[in-house]
Amino acid sequence: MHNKIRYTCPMNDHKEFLSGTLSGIILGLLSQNGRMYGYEICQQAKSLSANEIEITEGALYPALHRLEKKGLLTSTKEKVNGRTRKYYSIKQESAQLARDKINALISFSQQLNNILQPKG
Amino acid sequence: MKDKILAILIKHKVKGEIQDEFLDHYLTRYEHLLSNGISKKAAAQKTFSEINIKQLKRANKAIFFIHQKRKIQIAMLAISLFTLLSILQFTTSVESNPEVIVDHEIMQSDSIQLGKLLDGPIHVSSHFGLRKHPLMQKELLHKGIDLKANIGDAVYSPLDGIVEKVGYDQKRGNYIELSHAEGYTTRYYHLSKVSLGKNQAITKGKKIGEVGSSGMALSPHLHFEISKKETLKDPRDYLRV
Repeated sequence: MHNKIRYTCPMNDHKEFLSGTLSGIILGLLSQNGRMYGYEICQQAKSLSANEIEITEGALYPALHRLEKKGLLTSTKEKVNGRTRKYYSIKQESAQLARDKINALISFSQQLNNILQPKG
Repeated sequence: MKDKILAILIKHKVKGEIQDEFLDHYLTRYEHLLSNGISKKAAAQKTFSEINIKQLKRANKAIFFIHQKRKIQIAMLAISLFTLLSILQFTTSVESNPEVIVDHEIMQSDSIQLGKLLDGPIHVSSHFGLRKHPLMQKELLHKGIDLKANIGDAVYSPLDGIVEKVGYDQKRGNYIELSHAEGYTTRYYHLSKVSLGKNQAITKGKKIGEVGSSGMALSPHLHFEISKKETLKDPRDYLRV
């Protein structure tokens, strides 16, 4: 038995998982897909993790705004079905920084594996 | 559907760009459910059931602070700087020798009329008299009046007179002392520029120097004193303030 990892707004039970990794997940998905909008990011994370990782809008949008404010992301707006859709992508000038952050998270998760599931 | 979601967002004060984002999020969710073959009614029901108001409000607040953080920080900094400066200016303009007789009474026989000291209206930042020093916690005499002004503003002699002293020291900065008829003396401290010499005769309205913040003053102001026969007077009784 194991629980789903739910990325909700901070103050939640899973806040220890959230801190640090959510921005890494966002950057990772954006580096693979170029540009994405909020709902798309939630769905991608969900489907790539076999429904295990669920990012709620309450956690996602503040994180996106924070990353944009920090200058890692840039956004464009488009009209879709009579409403405005905001697309995020990694800012060109910050591509290296984003890669570093993604790599740091990958190496962290590998180390975590080594600790939790030591080989032979 | 759009209007219903919009109504929820507006009800919970989700405004501006983030309103567009949440609206798009929930409508896309609804469309996603429809594309999976779910009926309109069921899709709408599911979408609404997934809107977590508590989270929505928290996210809205979080995003507001992300964008306002700098403004809030700047405002806090400005307030603390302003408080600090006003305390410092007040403490530095207090003179340290309290053994002087203070005459608070307006002398009816005083017939002198002071001319202008500075151009424009007068703003008093610290008045004449005894007041408790906020840091040293004792009563000290402020021998004159502090008038807010800008560096370089002209200071004029308000009376005919003779230059008694011109000089500089660490406390008063560049200062001038003028003596006038009927035993009056006037003093001007913290000047940035002094344009006269000792024993020079001065006529009322002549420019004698420029406002500064020399000596123990952090912000530019004119410290002005007036005394009659060595008794300090409250400059307010002579100036229209």
